[in-house]
Amino acid sequence: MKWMLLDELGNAFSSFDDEVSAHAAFRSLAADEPEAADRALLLAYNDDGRPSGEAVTFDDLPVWTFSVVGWCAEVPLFWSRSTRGLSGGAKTVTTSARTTATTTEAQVLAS
Amino acid sequence: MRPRNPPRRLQLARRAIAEEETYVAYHVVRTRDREHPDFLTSFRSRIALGLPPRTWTQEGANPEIADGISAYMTGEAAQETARAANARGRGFGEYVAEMRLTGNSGIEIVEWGANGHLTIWGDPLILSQTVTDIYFYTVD
Repeated sequence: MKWMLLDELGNAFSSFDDEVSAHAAFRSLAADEPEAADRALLLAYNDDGRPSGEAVTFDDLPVWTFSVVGWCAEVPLFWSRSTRGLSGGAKTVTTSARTTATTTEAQVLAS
Repeated sequence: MRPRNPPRRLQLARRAIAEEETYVAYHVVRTRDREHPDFLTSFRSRIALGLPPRTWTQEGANPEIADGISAYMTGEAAQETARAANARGRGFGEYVAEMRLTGNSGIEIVEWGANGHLTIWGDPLILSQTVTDIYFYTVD
């Protein structure tokens, strides 16, 4: 899988090997150039080079993307932006069992 | 929150189209009317449109990316990318143009990012003239 950020012209301007890095970069773009982030889209591509799933706008982006990695399970946690400021807290959107370690956003930030 | 360091510069294997080569690529365009100004605009890069590279992205580390246009090695990838953008109200075109890039045209390419994705550099007018077919894809 690959993730690419595309602009309003359809041109890719960043590519990532994992979703956590892609989300972190999308957030940093928003911090630096909010207008560009508002017009950008994040798309996942499968190994055949075809889009997989829905395109993600900055408004769709969870405030945090990180993974809790155990010896046999990974539980990505998302806090939807739509719940920020409301009564909602962290909510689990996806649970998947994997045996491979993944990058956490904290690791990305520390790199 | 921002990564501490900006993205590293990519080593892009940019190359010219060889003299005897024909490279087929698919690019999303706004219109099928070749006389319409939007058709030529579809082949203008971010820099050609007077916009600077975005910092804190790979484009900041590789500003040449902003001087090219994205295309795909298959029409399916191009149309599905455009369809996904349209579905989120961020459409950048409803037509896919098949481009046949040939040597001695000053056109350069690099394959990077998702499999089958490439950036093409060239004069927008010359790029627009490489189009051999334009088709409308179904918008969901």
